[in-house]
Amino acid sequence: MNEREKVRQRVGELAEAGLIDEELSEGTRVLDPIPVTAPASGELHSWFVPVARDERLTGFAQLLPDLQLMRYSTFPSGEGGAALPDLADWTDATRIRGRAEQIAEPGETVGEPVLTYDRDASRLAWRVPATDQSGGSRALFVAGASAYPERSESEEPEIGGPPPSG
Amino acid sequence: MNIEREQARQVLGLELNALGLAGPPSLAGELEGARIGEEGTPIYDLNGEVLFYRFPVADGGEPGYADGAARTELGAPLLAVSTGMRWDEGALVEEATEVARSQGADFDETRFVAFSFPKIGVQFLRGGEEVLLLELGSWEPVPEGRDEERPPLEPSNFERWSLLEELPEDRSEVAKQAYEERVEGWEPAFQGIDTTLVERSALSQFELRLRDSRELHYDAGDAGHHICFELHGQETNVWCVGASTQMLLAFYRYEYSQDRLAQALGLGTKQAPNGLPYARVEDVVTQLEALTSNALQAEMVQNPDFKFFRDEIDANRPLISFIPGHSRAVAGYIQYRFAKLGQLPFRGLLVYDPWPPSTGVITRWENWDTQIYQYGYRAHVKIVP
Repeated sequence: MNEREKVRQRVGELAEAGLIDEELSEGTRVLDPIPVTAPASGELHSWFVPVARDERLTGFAQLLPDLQLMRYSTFPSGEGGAALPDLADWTDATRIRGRAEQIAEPGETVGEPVLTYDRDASRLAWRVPATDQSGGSRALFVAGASAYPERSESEEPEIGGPPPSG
Repeated sequence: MNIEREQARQVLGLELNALGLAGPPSLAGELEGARIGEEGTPIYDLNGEVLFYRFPVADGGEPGYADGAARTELGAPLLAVSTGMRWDEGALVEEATEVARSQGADFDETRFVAFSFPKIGVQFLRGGEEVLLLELGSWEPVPEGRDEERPPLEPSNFERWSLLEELPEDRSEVAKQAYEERVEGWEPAFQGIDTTLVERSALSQFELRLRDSRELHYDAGDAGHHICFELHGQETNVWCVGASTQMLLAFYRYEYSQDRLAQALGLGTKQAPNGLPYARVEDVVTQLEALTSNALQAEMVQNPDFKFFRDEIDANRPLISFIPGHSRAVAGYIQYRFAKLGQLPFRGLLVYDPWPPSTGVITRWENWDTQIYQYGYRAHVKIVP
């Protein structure tokens, strides 16, 4: 059994143990886990396991590499699931690149997205490199329908804002 | 404190059922359908008091045994479970007796003794005095105790020592408390299931009572009252503090937009937003009070523990939680009373997380042991009309 299969199996076990939403059984699918890489090291930090109904993302589990549950989160569904985000917003590289392109500067080319997080592991976001014509590069973040440039480090770190420098 | 054999067996039965439900699948498979024998073998401490009972476990996937505490000082009702070797007290005593007789021992009593916990042996006595002690299985005689001084609980290999006599008082008190809390958690299930049988389905009907969980309702008396908390996604990628504050205030029917809260908390504007500098974390307290005309009295706690969150939720009050670089609202908790052997029971928070921007997510549950909780904010109504 490969690592992704183990992660999916573990999600099933957690659902059975009552630690994951009971809605898992009601027409939802547990999709292939996506590795979440640590921003600094690029190493595997955790697994993002999307849970979908049709083409909507109902929620996700996040598991550490040792398969310990970090959290199970669900999106507000609204009437008939209308408020649920598109599954593609969180899983489709083309859609995610498209979001990044919307905030890229003219002349910047966006590269391959990598799922990571912005400051804390609970702030999941796709990191998309944007390279300008002179070869300079910066990072753009895409979190669902929201895209924004990476904030530079600051000597006055903020909750929600820039990370500490150094 | 002493625990009677029947009580030890009952609690052990619940623990084994919990282990079958929450433990590793391989062990769960071996235990499924097993019966816990009623005749547990008393295992004595060297000081002569019963330390634990060893109960045979049969008819499951594999035969085995489980050790149930006879003393609260041991800290947990289930000390060990082993599969693959049948526990047959009579056969073992017979085997040991044969060896003892071959060595010329003259005795009128035998008993099992934890001579170097958890190692056990068979002790032969005459007139209440030991004449021989044989290690279980190897049937090697266990040497006399040593005279030289050594720190407690640091015996050398194959040295006989008394757990009850060497257990320091402070550790003993902590262990007693842990034991009592654990058993207290089982009380609702005592009457309802056959504790002699290990069955995966046995505890399912008691699941709700085997965990302690609550989320915010309109009224602290949950029955008949709806769950009461609303998620607000953060309206910019840096306004998590504003969104968390908005959620807490909304619980008390104070409706503030995130723009207004940003103004109060110094988070800039939608066009030029910023986060809350760490140097100003106290501002959340100031604004929770100011924005409610001091109807709310707020408090910030650094490095809050689980109890901090649990007590507030039990009092039907939401909280704000800062973790490194991020802020969220907390509206519930869960705490399991059982866990795999050697592990802490699962504890988690119900987190209303304003991230990702505009939608947010409801996290049910966030594993307490995988997160760093830097600051917690609580507030209560100070003025009651």
